[in-house]
Amino acid sequence: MTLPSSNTVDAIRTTDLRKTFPDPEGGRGANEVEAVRGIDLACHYGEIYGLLGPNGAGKTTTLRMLATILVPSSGGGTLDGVDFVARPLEARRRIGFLSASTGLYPRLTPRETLTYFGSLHGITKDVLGARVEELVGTFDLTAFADRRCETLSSGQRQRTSIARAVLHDPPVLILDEPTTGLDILATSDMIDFIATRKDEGRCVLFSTHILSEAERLCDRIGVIDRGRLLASGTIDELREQTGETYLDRVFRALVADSRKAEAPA
Amino acid sequence: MILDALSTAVAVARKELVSAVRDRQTLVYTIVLPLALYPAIFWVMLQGYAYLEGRDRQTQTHAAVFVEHAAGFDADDVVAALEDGDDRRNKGPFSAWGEDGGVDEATIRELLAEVEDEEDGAAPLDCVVAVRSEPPGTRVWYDSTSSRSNLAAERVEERLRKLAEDLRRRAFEDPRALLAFEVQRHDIASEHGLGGFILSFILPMVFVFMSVMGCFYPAVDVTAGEIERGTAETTMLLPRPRLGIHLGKILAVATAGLVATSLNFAGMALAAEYLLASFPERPLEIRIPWGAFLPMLPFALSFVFFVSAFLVGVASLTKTFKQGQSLLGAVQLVVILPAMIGIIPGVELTPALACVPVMQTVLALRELLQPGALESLPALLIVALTQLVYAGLAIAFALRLTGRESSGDGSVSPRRFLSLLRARATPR
Repeated sequence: MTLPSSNTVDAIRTTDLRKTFPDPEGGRGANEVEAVRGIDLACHYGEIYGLLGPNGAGKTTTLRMLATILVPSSGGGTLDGVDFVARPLEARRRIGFLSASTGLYPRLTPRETLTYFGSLHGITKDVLGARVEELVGTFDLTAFADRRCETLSSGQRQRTSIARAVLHDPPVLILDEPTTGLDILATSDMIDFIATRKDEGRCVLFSTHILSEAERLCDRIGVIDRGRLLASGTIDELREQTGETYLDRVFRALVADSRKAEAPA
Repeated sequence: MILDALSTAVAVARKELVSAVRDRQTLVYTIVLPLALYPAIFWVMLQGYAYLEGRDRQTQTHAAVFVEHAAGFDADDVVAALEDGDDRRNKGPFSAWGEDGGVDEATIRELLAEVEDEEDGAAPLDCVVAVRSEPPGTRVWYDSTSSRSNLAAERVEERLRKLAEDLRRRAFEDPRALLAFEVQRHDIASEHGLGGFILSFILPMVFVFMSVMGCFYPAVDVTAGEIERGTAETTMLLPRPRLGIHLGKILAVATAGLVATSLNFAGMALAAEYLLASFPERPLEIRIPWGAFLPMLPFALSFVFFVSAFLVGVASLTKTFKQGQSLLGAVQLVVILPAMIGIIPGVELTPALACVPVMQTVLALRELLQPGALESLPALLIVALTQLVYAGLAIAFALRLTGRESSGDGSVSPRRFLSLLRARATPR
C-alpha cells in the first residue's frame, strides 16, 4: 500500500450521493424508497470515521455504494482518488469491504478463499502463496485454515473475512456494522484490528449503532438519519454543536432536531 | 476487457464447480444419479424379468374344461391338449380335469370362487375353459385381478391356438394350400440397426432431460443460493468485470449439465453393454453409436449453454433456494415439453421445426443418430444457426437479470419480472 504523506488528503469523498430504490413491483412514485438523500462525506487517511445512525437510516446503502455494490442514483465521489462511479473496478482494488452479510463461501476453506480472492485481485502465484500464509499467521487461522468455512465458528469466520478484506492491502477499509453477532472476544479482536489499521495510515469508514464503539474508536463521527448526514465532526465538536455531554444525548438531539425540521407544519 | 472477462469467467467457474462438487445435493443430481440411473433401471428390469420368468415356470396352472356334446370333441381331448401342450413363454406345469357337457355361468363363478380343499388338498381353479357347440367357440373364464388366473388364461389361449392350428392343417387335404397364406413378417433391419432406431428416440430425450436436471441445482446454487448464504455481496466485491463473473456462473452451470449428460451416456453404455446383454432372451442389440457423438457435440454444447443460461436467468429472479427450486421445477417442464413432442413418431426435422427451441435439438440429434443424416444437412444447418442465436439470447437474458440491482422479496410476478428487466445495472 502506498499512502499519501499528509493525513489531510481525502481517502473517501462523496458529493451529493443519492440512492432511490424502485418499487419492487414495478410501480412508479409511491413505493419508491429514497434511501440516501444527498450525502457529502470526506474521510482522511489515518482516520477512523464512524457512521452513526438508527436502523434504516441509510448507512448500509451509503457503504454499499462506496463499495461499488450499488450504483448511486445521482452524485458520486472518489475512493483513494478514483472515481468509484466511473471506474468501479479500480475503486474495488482500493477498498477492503466487510459486513455482517459479506459471507464466506461455505464449501471453500479459508485458505482456498484467500487464494481465490488473491488470484482475482491479480496477485501473482509466487507472491500469493506467501501472502496467504502471512495472513493465516497474522489472523491466527492456522488451526482451521483447511476446514470448510461452513464448519467454522462465528469468530473464526469473522477472522477469515477480515483476512479476505485486507488480502490485497487496501488503503481504504469500509466496515458495515462489523461487530454485529460477534461475542465479546471476537468484538475485542475486531476493535483492535480497526485501531491497528488506523495506525498503519489507512482510512477506516465504519457504520455502527453501538455508541461506545464509536466513542472509543472514531476520530470523527457522522450522524445519519433518513438518508441525510445530519452532522459530522469530532465528538467534542458534536457536543458543542448540540450542547449535550453524552454521546447518546448528542445523537438523540441531532435526530430529533432533524425530524422536527422535516415534519410537515 | 474481453480477455479479462473470459479469464474471470474461467476462475469463477472453477470455484463454482469446486463448490458444487462439495455440495451433496448437486453431487447426487449431477454425478451420481446420471451415472447410476441406467445401470439401476436395467438391473431392476433384469431382476424383475428373472423373477417373473422363474415364478411363471414354477407356477402350476389348474383348469376345468367343459365341452358341450355337439362340439365334436371329448373333454379328455382338450385336457390332453392343454396338459401336453407347450408354448414359447409359458412352459410351466399344467393340470386340468374335464367334463363332457355344458356349464352355466353361475356354476363357473362358483367353481372359480372355490378355495383350496383342506381335506383332499385339491388346488383351487385358475380358470375354466368352456367349449360351446352353437355358435362354435371357446370361452376362457378367468379373474384378471389374479396373476395366477391371468397366467392360466394366457397358457390356455396359446395352447388351444396351437391345437386349432393342428386341426386346421389336418382338415385340409393339402396343408400347403393353408400355408400359402400364412403370413410371417420378416424385418430386414439388423438387430443393431433396430437398436439404433430405438436409441434415436431415446437418446435425444434423455439428453434434454439430463441437461436440464444437471443444470437445475447448480443454477439455483449460483443465484438464489448465493443470496441466501450471503455470498452474493462477497462475489460482487471481486475487482473483476461483472460480465466475467456472471459468465463464469453460466459456464459452471453448463459444465455441470455437460458432466451430467456425459455420465448419463456412460452409464447407459455400461448398462447396454453388460446388463442388457445378460437378458436370457435378448430383445434387441443396443449399441451406443459412438461415431455419431462427434457431429452431435456442437448441437449438444449449444443446447447446454442455452439451458444453463436460461435457468440461471430465471433462478436469479428468486432470493432463496426454496423459491429457486419451486420456480425452476415449473420451468423445467416448459423446457422438456417441446422435447417430448420431438420424439413423437412421425414428427420429422423440417426447416420450420428446425427453428423451434428445444424440439430442434431433439430432432437434430435424432437425425444424426440414424443413417443418412447428410440428406437433412440444410435443416441441420438451420438448427445449428438458430441454436447459436437462442443460446446467445439466453446468455443475454441471464446477464440482464443477474446484473440487475435486485429488490423485493424474491417472489415472482410479471410486474416484478418486467421491473427487473428495466432495473438499473450493477456497476461493471
